[in-house]
Amino acid sequence: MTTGIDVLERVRLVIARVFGDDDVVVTRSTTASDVEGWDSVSNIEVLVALEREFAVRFNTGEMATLANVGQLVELIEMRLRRGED
Amino acid sequence: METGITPTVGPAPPEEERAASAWARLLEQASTCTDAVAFQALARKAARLEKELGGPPGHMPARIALMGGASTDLLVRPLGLALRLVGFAPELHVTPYNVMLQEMLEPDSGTSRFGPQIAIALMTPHSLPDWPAPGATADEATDLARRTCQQLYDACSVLHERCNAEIVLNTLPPFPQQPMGNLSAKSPEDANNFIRRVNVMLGDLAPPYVHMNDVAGLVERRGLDRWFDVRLWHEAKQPVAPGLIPELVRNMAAIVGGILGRSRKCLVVDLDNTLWGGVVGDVGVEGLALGEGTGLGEAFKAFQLYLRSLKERGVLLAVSSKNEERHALKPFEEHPETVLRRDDFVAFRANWSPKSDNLRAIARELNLGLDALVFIDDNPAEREEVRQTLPQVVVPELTDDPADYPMIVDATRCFEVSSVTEEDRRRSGMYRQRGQQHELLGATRNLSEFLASLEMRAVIRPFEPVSFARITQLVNKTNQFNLTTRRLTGAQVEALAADPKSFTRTVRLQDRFGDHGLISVLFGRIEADTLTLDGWLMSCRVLNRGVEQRLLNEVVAGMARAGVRYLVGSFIPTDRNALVRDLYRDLGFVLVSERDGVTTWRLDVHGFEPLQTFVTVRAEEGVE
Repeated sequence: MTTGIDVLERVRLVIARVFGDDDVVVTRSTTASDVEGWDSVSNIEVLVALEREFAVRFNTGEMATLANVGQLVELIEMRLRRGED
Repeated sequence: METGITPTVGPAPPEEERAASAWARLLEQASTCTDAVAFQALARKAARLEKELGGPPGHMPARIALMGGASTDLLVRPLGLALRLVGFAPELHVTPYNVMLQEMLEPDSGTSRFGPQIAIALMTPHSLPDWPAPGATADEATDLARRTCQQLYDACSVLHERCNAEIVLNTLPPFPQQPMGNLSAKSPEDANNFIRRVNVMLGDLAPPYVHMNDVAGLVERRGLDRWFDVRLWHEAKQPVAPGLIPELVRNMAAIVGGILGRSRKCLVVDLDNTLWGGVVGDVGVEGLALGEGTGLGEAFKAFQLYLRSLKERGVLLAVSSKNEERHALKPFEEHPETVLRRDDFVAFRANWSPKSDNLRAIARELNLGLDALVFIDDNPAEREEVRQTLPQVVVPELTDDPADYPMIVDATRCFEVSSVTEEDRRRSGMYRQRGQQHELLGATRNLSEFLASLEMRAVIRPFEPVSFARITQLVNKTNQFNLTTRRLTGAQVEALAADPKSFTRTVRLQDRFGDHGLISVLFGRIEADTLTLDGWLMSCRVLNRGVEQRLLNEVVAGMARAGVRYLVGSFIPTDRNALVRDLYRDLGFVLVSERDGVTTWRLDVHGFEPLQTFVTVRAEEGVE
């Protein structure tokens, strides 16, 4: 499946939608604390919105292990590759 | 505006105007929003807007506590937005996780100190304290379910008595796992089997001040897999997956609306391709799709059956159709499979005027506000015309399949009520009688003759247990003939009835066309030589009948006997009750003060001449 825009940009758009901020800046080194409103509660919204955007599923506790958006992007890419097998 | 007496109304300060238009935009977006992520984002935006500019104008304050048997953090903002959408200015108090019973029982818990009007609990099956023992019989499980609910309701009664709070509990969804497999259905010891028993018992034992949020029903419709995400439960004790939060909070807000009298009263429907398939003026009665035989015909018949159920529990039905009236009436008279008849509608407008004109006329005819109407039309252009012209009317978006219509009307949650009274069941009939009276009025030479010809008889009584539910309902939903718009919970009604210092009256009215039921409520308190009227309201069904004159005559006569010299009452203006601005003056009261539009009036019992009225009091049932 090719999408035209890369995974990082799609992650950024999801975060923008969840927090209602179209101009949110998200890079691979961004962490939750860099984004206003991204706390342990809204993290659940981010997780569910990402699952829907990429049609993937994270395992219990998986997202809590990620240090930054870069690792999140890698996890999603890994899931997407698995889906292509 | 040429005189100096009327204060000139200047433009609102720019700040307020900015807030009002920002809120209007946001609420419009939210009202049609079905996407959970977008709804959460709008809820965030609403919270920010509220912080920066304050709330939108004209919303009714509501103090709401949210008590969670699990984490409710994700619900708070969306619930705030959903309450805004039904016209409330919510003040929300959120309790910590899983301390519901303590919150209700302890006199200095956060919830008790907050003193909510309405406390909403969100319970999960995980919070049930006891489960049936292995091998338990059906009787044992039922008994445990009863004790479980009783314990819960004991706690509810403590909170209710302390704060006068109405309480919203929910039916419980099942667990996703099923260790006994299909045997669950016949095993009283099984957890999901037990949950079903608890749900039935919750409904059976609920006192009047406990209202049900039917989460189990929502889960049945949308699916347990969508409701419950077990990962989010393990990670963060989330009782509900984010995808169904908008529907859950809208449901909660609708229940609040029902309790506080904001539910809608009348459903206005189009005819062609809404109640039957086809255009009756083109294809004739024989050519319509309606009834058994074809799937499409059955779908329209099912919608008619649904509408009849709404009518039977008190929702008024009306018609607005672009049609010749003789065409529009025909299917109701001649189609063998029509469920609805002309008589089922309290207003019937078949003409070529814009639908918005007809909706205005229907509201006027029924003495309802436009915000009491919901409008159903298969034609998107008509829906848009009404939405743009009359934003107060709810106009649900329809699919192009009539099989969906009942569920679409359901989903608006516009007709939520906390109880159905005998008056509700008979409402349509009473409104139809009013229509006949309009006709009679035309045929009668003058108003006195007309009123006399109605043979009206009133029964005036203090607040009595048999009437508590109806009194509460009337107090909370009457907007026009309402001097102070003071709302009362069921508990407050009971407290007034029991308080020896308080003075309460209800009026039931009958006439030659039938029984209107309990249509007016008055309450106040007697101190020294003065009766202060705290509230006086009347159903608009019986406007201009002389009921208020009759009630005042009776009250004054009673006060004279009791040695009370003065009646004092205030008029508190709202955007809905201009009808009674001059009522006290018209009844002979004298203005004693005026501040911020609130006028206070006094009547001296000495020298009071009974007012002319054609309402007689049924002596054997009069007071004292």
